[in-house]
Amino acid sequence: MPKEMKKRLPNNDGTKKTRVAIIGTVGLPARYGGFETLAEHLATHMSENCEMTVYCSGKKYPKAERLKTYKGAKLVYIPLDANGISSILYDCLSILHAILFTDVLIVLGVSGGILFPFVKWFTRRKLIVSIDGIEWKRAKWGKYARWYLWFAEYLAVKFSDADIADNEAIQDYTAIRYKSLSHIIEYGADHTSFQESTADDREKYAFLNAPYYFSVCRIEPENNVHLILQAFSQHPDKTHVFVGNWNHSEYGMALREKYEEFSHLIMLDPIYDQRMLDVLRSNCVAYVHGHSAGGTNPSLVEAMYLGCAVIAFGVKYNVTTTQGRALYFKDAASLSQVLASDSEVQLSENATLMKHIAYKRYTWANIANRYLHLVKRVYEGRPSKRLVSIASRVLRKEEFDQFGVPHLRHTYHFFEKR
Amino acid sequence: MNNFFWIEIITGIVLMCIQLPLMIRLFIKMSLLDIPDERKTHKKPIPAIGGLVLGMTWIEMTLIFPSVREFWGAHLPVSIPLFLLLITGVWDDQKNLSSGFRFLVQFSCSVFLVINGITINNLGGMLGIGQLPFWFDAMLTVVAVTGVTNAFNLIDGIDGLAGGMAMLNLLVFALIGYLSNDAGLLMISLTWAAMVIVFLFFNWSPAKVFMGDGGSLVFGFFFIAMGLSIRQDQELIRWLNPSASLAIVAAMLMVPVTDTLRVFAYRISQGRSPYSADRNHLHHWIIRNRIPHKVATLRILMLHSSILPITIVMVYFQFNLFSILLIQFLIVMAYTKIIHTITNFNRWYRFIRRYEMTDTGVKI
Repeated sequence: MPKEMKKRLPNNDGTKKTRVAIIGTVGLPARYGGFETLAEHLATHMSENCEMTVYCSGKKYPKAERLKTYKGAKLVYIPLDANGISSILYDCLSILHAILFTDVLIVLGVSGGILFPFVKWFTRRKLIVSIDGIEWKRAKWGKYARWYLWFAEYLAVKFSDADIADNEAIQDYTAIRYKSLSHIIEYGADHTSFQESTADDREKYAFLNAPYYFSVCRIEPENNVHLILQAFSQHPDKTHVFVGNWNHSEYGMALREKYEEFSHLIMLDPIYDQRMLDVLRSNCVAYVHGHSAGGTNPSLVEAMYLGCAVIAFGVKYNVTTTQGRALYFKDAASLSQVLASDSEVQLSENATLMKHIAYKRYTWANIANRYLHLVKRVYEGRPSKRLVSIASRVLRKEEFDQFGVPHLRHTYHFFEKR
Repeated sequence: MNNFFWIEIITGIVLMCIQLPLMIRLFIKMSLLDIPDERKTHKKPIPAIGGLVLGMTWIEMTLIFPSVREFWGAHLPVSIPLFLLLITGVWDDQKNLSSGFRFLVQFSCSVFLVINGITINNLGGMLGIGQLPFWFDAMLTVVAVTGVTNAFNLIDGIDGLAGGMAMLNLLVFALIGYLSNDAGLLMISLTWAAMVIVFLFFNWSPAKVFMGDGGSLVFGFFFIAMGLSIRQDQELIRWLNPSASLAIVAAMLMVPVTDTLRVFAYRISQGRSPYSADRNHLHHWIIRNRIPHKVATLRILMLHSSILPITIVMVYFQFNLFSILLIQFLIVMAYTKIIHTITNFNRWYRFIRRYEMTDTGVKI
């Protein structure tokens, strides 16, 4: 941490640290998903410079397990579920609590968006929102929830002091929809580590002795599980290990039943032992990533960090996460083609590349530093960049062409940003 | 009242059932069809002769039944312009008259109404105005009648919409006729409603026939003219004051009128002529969400038929006319706004689906 940054971060009177709230995660200690891991690392890295408060779901942490502080962050428990439809109320309550006690609110996810205008109008608190993928597009939400999230995202981006996209593709989307420039901050992956398999492991999972492909995800149509299984079923020479909650849904059970007869398709139930999961991920030939939703997927970033070759679903988010250097598929046929043509050399080159990208971009020190920088910037009251020029509020689209000055429509050429 | 007019209703249905398919076949043979263009929502050429056949049946009925003759004779200020509009509309369907001429006919028809004393006459205390001064009354009536006639013409954009709305309104007239002991009005409304139902069978998506201007102009004019005419009915005035009757007439016309006003206002705000062509009507917005015509029609008809009960409740609780009209207007506008928002959402949804998978710059 640069020294001058530390000096400037305290409040104006120079006595206190900036008070930062992290809202929208299930809570700490992190046990659940990407946001929780993010919150944990922000707490670790930022608590030196800021007074951190993390809002936790009281439903997931029973009274006996609750901590007052964790890794330097104060924990506040809200007695609501942080996922599903009640996340709207959970986020809103957290925001209402946080505006009383903190200066900068980092809101992860947009479901609390309806409160943003009021926070902006009636308080001097600063809002940073992290758009977690395009949530309103996801199949897991019902019709009305999608409409709500679509609108909440609008409010969240319009009324926040800075918005964070976790992926360039999301940044392009916010530029198109809101004409604003999002900050890109992805996730870290260095909480995982490469694990050699031991003799015990090899005994427990016999497939570790031979090369195998690996996938781990929630068994949902959004993650293209059916595509992956269909493609691998055509390649009996390639072992594929798939970890997921198969018994959770009709979809998972149907797939398991359909592909059970293939002996080279190994479908495992969820593994909660982090070391074991890392062993399975670290030693695979290639990691097959089927996610189509969200921005930068933590699981993909972690696989890259562990040095797996990556074969990813060719959705924009995955392509930007892997910087276009991995192998991609868009349906079962193209995945099958990739599998037929991949060679050991190609995959190991791929793995090295992925590892380089991950080491450069996806480390928590880097990520937390950028969050800290953004908090500082927002706290100082610097406005976020807009892509629309003042002229374009006065002139109409046709008039720019008419006067021969179409380049003045956008002051900031954001496509040149990279 | 007795069961006498069952004969008229059945005759109307039978005549429609015979003539409509025959005429459709005849017009297809003669290639007198409505050719689809960019703005129209249909793909195949289809004859726009609903108005013609309904009009034919109407004339035949007038010739056959003395009771029908009697009714139209008693309402000459309405029936003469109706006949004129029928001819103009049918002619327009086949030969595409200039809009100036069509407008002139509509204008003359509304002036004819005013000359014969069928006017808005009394605003029932709206904005502090009761009895209207003659010239103002005349002008307001001409504007209202011409406007409504046009509005009804303009919503005739998807299968079954104008027909369905006409049928609902005719049922309301039948109810008014029944309640005010007006046997003639009851008979005519029910007969027409029955004829329109036959037409709807052929007009329902996928349509084999369109209503055309011959139908929509006639219906639009009929509803406003008849609505104003029966407001002067002594029997009706006894239990429905001028403000309440105007509110109910407005309820029957609020959907097309509000939609037309909105579309006109938008076009003018864009610096275009209010008659310039676009796809901005409520039904256009609904079908933009990939909703079948049938469902879109039913939704607008639901909206239409929800306004009357709300109006009756408001009349019962003695809301003043201005607030009733405002609430009717706001209901339609709110519905339109919701449709707009949903359309906007769906457009972004489709955009994102395309966006996620394209231009990744990577060979897949």
